[in-house]
Amino acid sequence: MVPTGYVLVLAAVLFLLGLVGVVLRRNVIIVMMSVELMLNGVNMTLIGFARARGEMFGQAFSFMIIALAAAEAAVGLAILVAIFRTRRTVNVDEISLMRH
Amino acid sequence: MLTFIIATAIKVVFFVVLFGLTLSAILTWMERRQSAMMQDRLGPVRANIGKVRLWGLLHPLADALKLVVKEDFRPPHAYRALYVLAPMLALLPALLVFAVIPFGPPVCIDQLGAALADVGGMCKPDQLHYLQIANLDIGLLFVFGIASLGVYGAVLAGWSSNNNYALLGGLRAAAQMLSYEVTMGMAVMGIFLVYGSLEPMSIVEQQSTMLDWGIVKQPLGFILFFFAAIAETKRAPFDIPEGESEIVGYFVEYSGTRFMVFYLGEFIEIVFVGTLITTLYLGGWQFPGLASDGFHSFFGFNVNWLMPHWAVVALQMGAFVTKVFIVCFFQLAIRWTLPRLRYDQLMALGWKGLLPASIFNVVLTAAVMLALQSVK
Amino acid sequence: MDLLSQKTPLSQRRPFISSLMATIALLVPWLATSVAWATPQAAAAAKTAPAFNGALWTFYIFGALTIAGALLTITRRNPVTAALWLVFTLFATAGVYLSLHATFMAAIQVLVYAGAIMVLFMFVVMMVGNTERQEFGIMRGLFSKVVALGAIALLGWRLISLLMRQAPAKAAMVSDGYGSVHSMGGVLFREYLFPFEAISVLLLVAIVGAVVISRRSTEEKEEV
Repeated sequence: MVPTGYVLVLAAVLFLLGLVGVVLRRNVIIVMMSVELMLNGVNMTLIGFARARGEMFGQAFSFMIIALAAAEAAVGLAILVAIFRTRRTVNVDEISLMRH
Repeated sequence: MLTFIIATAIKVVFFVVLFGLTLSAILTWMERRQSAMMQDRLGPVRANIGKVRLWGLLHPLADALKLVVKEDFRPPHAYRALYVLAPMLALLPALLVFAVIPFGPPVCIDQLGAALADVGGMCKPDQLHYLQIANLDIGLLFVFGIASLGVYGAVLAGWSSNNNYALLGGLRAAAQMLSYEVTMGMAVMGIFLVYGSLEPMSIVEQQSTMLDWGIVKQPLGFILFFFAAIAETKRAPFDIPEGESEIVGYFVEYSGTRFMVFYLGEFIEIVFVGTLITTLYLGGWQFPGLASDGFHSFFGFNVNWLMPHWAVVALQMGAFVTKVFIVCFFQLAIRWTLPRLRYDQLMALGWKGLLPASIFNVVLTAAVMLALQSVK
Repeated sequence: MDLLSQKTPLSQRRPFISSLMATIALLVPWLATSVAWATPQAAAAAKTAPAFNGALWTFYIFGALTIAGALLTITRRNPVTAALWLVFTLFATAGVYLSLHATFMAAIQVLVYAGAIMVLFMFVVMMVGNTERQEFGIMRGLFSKVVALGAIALLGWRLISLLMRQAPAKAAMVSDGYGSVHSMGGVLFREYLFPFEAISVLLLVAIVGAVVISRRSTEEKEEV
């Protein structure tokens, strides 16, 4: 049996590492990967609580978060491809203009 | 615990090494012989050890020897770590998925001589062994999860070779495998609905008579699954990512042992698809008409031939191997029968043809199941 | 498409071994603190538990691998390597889920995340081509980075200390079918049927949106 506190700390560390990646990296693709890390941290929290309470609802939530992550990745990567096609860059500092 | 480890080790050695690897080595020879027969040639018949020739069956050995001693060429500016990793990533999923395939009935070790009508009930729990490496609750989800990782081998091989043609091949492979995985998953959904389980062992046990076989209950699903599985293994007519003779594939920069790993991985995947189709659609290890203590009906006649437990197990394992071999034979024959699809045709077939059909299959199966339930 | 862009030569890449060593150096303190932070209740629970706790050791191993993978993911310069380490991290996360008896979620994690989403990432990385040189040095925007990292450290400290104080130390006993496909199906299709349907509509919208966004408009095509 895993103490719930350990799971929550691991999840928090995962979330924070993702946050560090979002803040420090300039490559949009890696920023998006860091967002995935953060989502996984949240997922792990939910599954940890589900285990602590001995019920399935937390797992149902995390199932939906995975579906959400799939939608996010699809749309985000499509936007990325569209931006790259017009601006030839994936650096977040260079795509701050809001026009073509 | 120790018995469990020993039993698992024996199962792994038997099923993966003796069955999987040997059959895939034989298939490399069989493919060349089969194509030779279709094209009125002799094919590889000349490899021999002294006088022993065995119709050329020694060719896989000779091929392996040749590829192992070949120079290991690495293209300049290749991304070294990933270049080395890619063949392993291509082979590993193909080997891992064998873990959940049942290759025989439950075996009662201490009553091999007796005729057992009910193996599960008449055997002591510590003597009962399932001929399956791991019986997981998630069963087939494990298979699809691991099989979906096969993409990385192709993509990384293409990318790390530092060759534009290899990169294009890798991209094609990724797009193709991602597209057909969806169809594969949807097609197998019908099997889940019919048998109400994700565990391969339970699915096989429910296919005890030939009328219960998946191919009878899910004919459309079988066809869709077979097509999608061939596309997943990147075999003709869907071999655009590889196309060794005409198109430059993702492993164009590989040679020697690393190429052999890709090549072997492809044939292991053929064997794996064979075992999976056998398990899901062709009754797995079930021998038609054979109950766990012998034959009670034989082609419609009522008979009462009791057989010892070991004979039943041997017959059923033989049935499994035979079925797998037949499915593999078909996969090879398709390659020398159908022309290759163009890339846009491949995508159109996957997304506009097979995927809607597989969704239709799921809806149809669910509707029929619901109707049958309400009749009861 | 920038499919045909050149990759940077091998000499510019940082060695692999040093990054691995750094990861291990970072891992050891984390493991030590997580053991030391165990609440008294947790320690009491551990005393009553049998000598070898398989789930806990699974958790330790895969937890350590998760952190290592996440660190490597956010520090790699090359997007392909970063994506691969993220796949590794997701695998390790699936292992953590297994130690929490969430077998179905572990399978879905591998199937959907590692098998589908990350392949999509990989696909786009390769289509976009080499982007390594577009990363600026660590000095650019140093002030804002330091401030952001400080804020993250503060958040992390508060979060972890709060979690450690408030977390239920002893997990509930669970039955045999917990986390299985069957129990998951029961929850998803009874209690959470509406959210389930809503998320499927969302996915459909996302698919259509992705196609519309990434497709070239007709005028662009004429230019090319």
